[in-house]
Amino acid sequence: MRGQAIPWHTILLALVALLLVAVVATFFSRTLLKSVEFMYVVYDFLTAHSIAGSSPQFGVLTSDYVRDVKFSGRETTYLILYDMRKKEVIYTEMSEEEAVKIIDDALERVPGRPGKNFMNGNKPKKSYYALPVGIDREGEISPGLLIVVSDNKKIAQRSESLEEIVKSFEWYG
Amino acid sequence: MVWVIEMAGAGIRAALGAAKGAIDVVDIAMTTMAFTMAVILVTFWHFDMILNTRVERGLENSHALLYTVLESTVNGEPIEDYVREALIINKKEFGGVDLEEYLTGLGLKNTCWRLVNSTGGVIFGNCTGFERRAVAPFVNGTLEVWFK
Repeated sequence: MRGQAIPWHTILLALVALLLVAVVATFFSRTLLKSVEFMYVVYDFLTAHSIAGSSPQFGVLTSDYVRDVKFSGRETTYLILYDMRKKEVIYTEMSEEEAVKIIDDALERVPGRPGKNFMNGNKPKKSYYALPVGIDREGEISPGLLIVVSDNKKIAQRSESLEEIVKSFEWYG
Repeated sequence: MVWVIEMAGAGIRAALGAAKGAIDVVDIAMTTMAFTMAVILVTFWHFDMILNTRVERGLENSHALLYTVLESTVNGEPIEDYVREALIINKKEFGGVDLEEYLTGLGLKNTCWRLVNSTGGVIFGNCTGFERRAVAPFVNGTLEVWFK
């Protein structure tokens, strides 16, 4: 007599169930990652609006104002000001090369679609939000972009959680 | 001897029965698990779609783009004034400013600008394949921004 063979349908069922477990696990980690990524982008979004909204002339910025602006999480954030008409980086807290890379991506995603090119493995390394703003250039106002780039590694090292930082923008809620 | 063989036969039958029962239980467990996973998968897929839409579209600010452009100035005059005048004369150019060139020259790759007069005539902007996202109304027409 042969040993009690496991029927083929049981093997098939086991394979299907295992496959589904694997797919669900992958989906779960992907969705979780996306929600974390979304939180970072929300932070960038709120910061950009906060900066533009609190400038002396609503929605119109100067490089001096951007340089001196203070807000929660300033040390984890890089700001870029870009003149769309003159195609010129007015102000950057990153290297010119990195800034240009982000600006190029932002010009494809304006306004408000988050970039996807700044992942470190499967973790978002840097996120950004590009907000259209006016740039005051000696009397003329140029259409530009204020780009808030956050270093997610530095944010993760802060004592307060990302949710707490986002909640600190109470004016928005 | 016969008794031993009968006992052994009964034992084997019981073992086979138990194994069959166990396989039935495994089948039921696997089927239940597969269905549960399928339900979880569909739920995640739905959640993922919502999240995708929120990430992709939830933070869009088309009005900021439109009004930033309208408030920008050429020779000290806001572009809004040039658009208003261009709509009155039904042309894409006014005061030496070609509006189509100005707007497309901003370098936004997935954005289309359209100037439409009050009768619905398109002065410039072929936005086929784009979606209309924001509209600035003027007395003699509209300036629209469309995204892919």
